[in-house]
Amino acid sequence: MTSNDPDGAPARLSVPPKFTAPRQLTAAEVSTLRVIADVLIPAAGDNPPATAEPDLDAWLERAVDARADAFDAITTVLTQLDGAAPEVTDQALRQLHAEQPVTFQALTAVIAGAWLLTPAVRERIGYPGQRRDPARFDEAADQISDGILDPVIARGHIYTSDRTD
Amino acid sequence: MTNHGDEAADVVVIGSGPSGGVVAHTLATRGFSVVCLEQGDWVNPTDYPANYPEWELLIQAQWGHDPNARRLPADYPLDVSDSDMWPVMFNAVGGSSIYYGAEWPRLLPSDFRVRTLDGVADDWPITYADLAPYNDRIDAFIGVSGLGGDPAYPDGLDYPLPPHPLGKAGRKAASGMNALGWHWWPGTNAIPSQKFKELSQCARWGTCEWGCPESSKASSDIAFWPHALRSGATLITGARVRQIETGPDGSVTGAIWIDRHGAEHRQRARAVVLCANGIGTPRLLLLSASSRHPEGLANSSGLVGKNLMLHPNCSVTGFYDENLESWRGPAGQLIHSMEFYDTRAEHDFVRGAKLHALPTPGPLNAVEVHRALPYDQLWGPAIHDIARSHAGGILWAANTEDLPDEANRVTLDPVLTDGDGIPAPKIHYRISENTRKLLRFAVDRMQEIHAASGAVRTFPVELWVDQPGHLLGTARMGNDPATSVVDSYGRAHDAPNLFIADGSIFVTSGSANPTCTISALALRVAEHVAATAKDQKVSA
Repeated sequence: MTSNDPDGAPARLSVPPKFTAPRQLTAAEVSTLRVIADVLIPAAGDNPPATAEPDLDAWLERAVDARADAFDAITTVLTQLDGAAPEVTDQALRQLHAEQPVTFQALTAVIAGAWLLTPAVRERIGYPGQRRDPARFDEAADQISDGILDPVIARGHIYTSDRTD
Repeated sequence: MTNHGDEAADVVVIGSGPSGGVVAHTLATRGFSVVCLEQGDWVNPTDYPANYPEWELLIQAQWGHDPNARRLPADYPLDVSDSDMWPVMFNAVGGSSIYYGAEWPRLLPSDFRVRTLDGVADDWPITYADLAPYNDRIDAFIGVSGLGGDPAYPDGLDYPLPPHPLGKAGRKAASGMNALGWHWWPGTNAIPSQKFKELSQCARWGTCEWGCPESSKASSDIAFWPHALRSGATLITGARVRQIETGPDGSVTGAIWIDRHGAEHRQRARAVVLCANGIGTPRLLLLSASSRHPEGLANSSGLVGKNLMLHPNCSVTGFYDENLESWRGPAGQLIHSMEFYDTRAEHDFVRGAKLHALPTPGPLNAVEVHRALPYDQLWGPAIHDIARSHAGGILWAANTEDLPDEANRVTLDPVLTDGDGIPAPKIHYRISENTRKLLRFAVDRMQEIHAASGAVRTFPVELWVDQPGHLLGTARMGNDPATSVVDSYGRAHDAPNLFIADGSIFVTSGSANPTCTISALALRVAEHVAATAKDQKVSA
């Protein structure tokens, strides 16, 4: 998809060009992002930490693209936390949460969003994704034919007359 | 300036949303030459974010509802610095129906008689019975899905297609309503439960409010425009109208529009029908001031842009300790309730709210709802259970009836302009004390419903600042030219060949989602244009 015709006019007036981050994250930025991911999404009980998902990095890249609007804010945080230990990162995230909620939302949406896109996590949380799932022909009828509507019907009309009928 | 043809179009329609689609189709099938000017262009089903696994991230910014954040070339900015809410819209073929949820309730009889029944606002110049036949015909044309016999309405209301399944979430919501003894009914949606004309059978993607990838939601681009185009209507996309022109006698003569390359065009017309929504329409009327109409076109009453009503929305999202398959659509309403729609003596406010239950598709969306929690209850070890909660969500939301207030209005911004240098609309809107009480009341009732259904956690939002797209009342209809902009057929009191057919002409807002009513009114307006064409400068 291109954003402009050869003469400079927008090619699509009502459809955004697909977001792409201005550049790929550096190895150091990805490393910092992974530290943050495990602070936000640590191991708990039977649940592995975020970085245990083998596909996480690929989905992080895609998630950063999807929120390219916040790229500068996100990479600024990554620069500030470059090389920080998890404990330091945790404190910094709490401060970000309290003081810069817009940046915190974008950063954590990208990380949680990427984590939730990994196949193992989707399987674990029971999310099939949005998909074609048409109803059976008789599904609606089945779901209202067991008497669930009876009390509503038994009560009768509830509307206010407009005094014209 | 490019002048289009020696012949004026019989009718120029401005805007291709539901009202524009209805008007263009209705008049084209009757042999009128119709030209529709639409500032946006087509959106394909494959464009929508639901086609991508990262759809939940895409809808946070680039595919968001707020035109000020989205800022697509078709969008124009809104100055909301003096408004309690940020009106939303979508600018494309199909208008804001691209992003609507297709909830399709009619107004109730009381909505047309608010002054008579409640002593506030004004009565409409038409009744429920006057509009019902047009509702019926629109419903039949687009294949509305619903269950007849809703006791919230007078007898005789039925729908062409059966309702959608309630699903586990809908049945759970209904169980709470039954426990409380409150009205509910399977949701009525302009989403076909079976294949219908150009519309596919609903495949329950659940992403209705961000575009349907299945083409199974009756947005105007697929519900009306294929039929309008086959009937001979001309649709010009990328056509941003900056002025409606008038002649020496005050009647309209056509429109000046700017194409996507910035070139100006003049489209002459024997009649103009404005279908540009409750903000775009008054903006254009105010932009069309002339020596004959110094305060703006059709504005001798001074009411153009005034009485903006936005249906302030509130909600309570509940999460349940069971799998409700909450990713499954339509969304769309699973069930609706008119229990608190009308005024009750025991309330400390007048009028009421329509309540509706929806699924809550997507685990990231569930995380976003939980952001109201303290840090440690969402992040860290807690995140795993929060992620799993997506499957057990129900969103109860309410449209509250917004009473007309002349102080709530659309004006032209003295500084802000769109991409073509045209003054942008400025929104002046404050939520009334009556509405504040109503919002709090609705939130409390929705909390009770969740409790009765067994929710384990609830998240109330007393006002959705960036919703809804219900833009109403800014060119109200009425019989008296001193207190209204158009008559009951949408004809401007000040210009006999200018009509308005969108939500601007609502007298009161009701609390039912308005597109159903907008479409029926548009059909009524269009048939009146056709029926009276021989008496004016509209010729078939």
